[in-house]
Amino acid sequence: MTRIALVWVLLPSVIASQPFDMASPVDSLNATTQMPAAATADFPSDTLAPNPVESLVVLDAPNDAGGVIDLFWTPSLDEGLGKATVGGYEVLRAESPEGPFLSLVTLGPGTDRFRDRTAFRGTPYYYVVRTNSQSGSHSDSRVSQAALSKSQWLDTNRLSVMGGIMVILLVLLVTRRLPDEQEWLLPAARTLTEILSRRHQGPTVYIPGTAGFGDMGTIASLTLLEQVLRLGERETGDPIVYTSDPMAHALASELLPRHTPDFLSPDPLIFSLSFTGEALRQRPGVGVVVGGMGAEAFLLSEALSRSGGVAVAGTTDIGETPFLVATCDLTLIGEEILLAGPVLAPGGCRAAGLVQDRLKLLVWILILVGVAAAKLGVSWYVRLFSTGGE
Amino acid sequence: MLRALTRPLAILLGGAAILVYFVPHQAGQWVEARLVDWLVLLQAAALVAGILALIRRQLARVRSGSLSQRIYPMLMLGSMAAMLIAGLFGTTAATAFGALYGSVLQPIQASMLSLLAFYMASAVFRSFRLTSAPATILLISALVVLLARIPLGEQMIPRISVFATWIIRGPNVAATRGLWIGMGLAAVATAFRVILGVQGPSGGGRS
Repeated sequence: MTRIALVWVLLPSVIASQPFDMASPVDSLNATTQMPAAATADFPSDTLAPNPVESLVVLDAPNDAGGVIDLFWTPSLDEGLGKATVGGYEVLRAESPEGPFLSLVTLGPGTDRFRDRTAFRGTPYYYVVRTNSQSGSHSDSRVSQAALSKSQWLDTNRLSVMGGIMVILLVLLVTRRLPDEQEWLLPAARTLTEILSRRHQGPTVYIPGTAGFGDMGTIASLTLLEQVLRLGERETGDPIVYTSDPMAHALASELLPRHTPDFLSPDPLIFSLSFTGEALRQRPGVGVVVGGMGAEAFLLSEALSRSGGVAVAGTTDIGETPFLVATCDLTLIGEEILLAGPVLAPGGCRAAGLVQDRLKLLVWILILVGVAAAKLGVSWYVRLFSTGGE
Repeated sequence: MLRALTRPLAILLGGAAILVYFVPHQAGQWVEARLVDWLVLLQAAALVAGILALIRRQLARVRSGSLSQRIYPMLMLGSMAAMLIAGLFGTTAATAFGALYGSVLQPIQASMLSLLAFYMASAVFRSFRLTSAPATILLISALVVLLARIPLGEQMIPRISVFATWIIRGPNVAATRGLWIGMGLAAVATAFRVILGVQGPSGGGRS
């Protein structure tokens, strides 16, 4: 919508700047098919060249690293009129207004725009849009103005995301200074604290997910591991940590004070198989499987459940959550996975819950205002949150 | 000395990774490409460290365990050596490596996946045994969706698929989106905590 609005703003000035008496440099290429009006008078109507497209506008595509040029035009007047029915459009490009013009793409009838992704950054290009009739004749638009693609330093489509991140950062910084009495505790975190603070028969085992380090669940799980170590220090001792992702293994090694974690396999299914064997042999008192996981989350939680210990699980894959609820004694759902670590940490990190509540309240207000704005036809509000995805 | 550099480095690189999301300029792309390159290198090094830790652990088990406890570590180390040696002579399907992969590893993976079907049935049975109000709603919703997915369901209860579609597109989507919003907010907050060293792998650790 932004681009269309831009075209409508720029269109008059572009049309005004076009030399209307300028002959198309590709006319020479079309000499055999584009007949002068006087010469075509005696020909049947289907051999007449169709009307060319009008108002060809070329613009550097916004918010990119360059190398992309957008073309917009008004389709031929013969589109669908039956005089010389338009068979399609052909986009031609040259590095000089005199040519030579080379064909880039052929588009179907009804098209009024094209995105040229093959341009080189900093090279001026000139475009012509050729209207092809179904009978084989064609006519060319005027040569466009020079289009130069450039890199932009700021993606304006993502300003709303930047604003959101700033708000979260601000709330984080403000909430860290709150007094201790305003602490907040997740019910799931409270239960987890109780489980870990109790004495159990058998060791505590911990799996920080099987997904790679790109999954936020894995990172959140490592922050939770710090707290599991702290809480279980007195009663259950250090947990046995099983890792699947090499990076998670390296970081878990940093966290564990007395021994290294067990790296079983980078393959999630083989890891599940290995862990099932380990769980059945070790008979853990408590098993915590939290992090980024797919279907293997269910296999791992089942292995824990069948080994007889208290099973705690949570995955960022929402589709797996119902199975974990059915299998485990405690399931961390959704945001609980990401918040359990910060909430259980001593000191200011307990304010994490407050941050989350305030941010959710803010999102709720934004959604409700959005619903009202949509009902009232206020489109700028929706555009404000658009990230410009194609 | 190196540990003292961890936090400033995490802030610098984490900040750069966030910043390049907003900078489409080729300079931003260059920084992003370098960050990805370093990540790949780190992952490769971490994988080597992980495999070495695995071998060390299994060797320790072979040395210290009883005869029955030695079987699995020995089997694991033997399999690893076999795959490594087979891989030296090519990794296509026609090679020994391909044969081991297709005849041993893939069937193992497939059998693990097939276990899911049994576990799912078991989980459904356990859910349906629950007697709370949410469990009853879950049971009714599950039955409606299950019946709507089979031809017999529509024969038994006409237009049940309409209700099932409403459950999937209405309450289900609403709940999922609610979870996603909460997770999205928490993910950004967690990322900031880790990058700024307030908590997590870059700021925590052995002290």
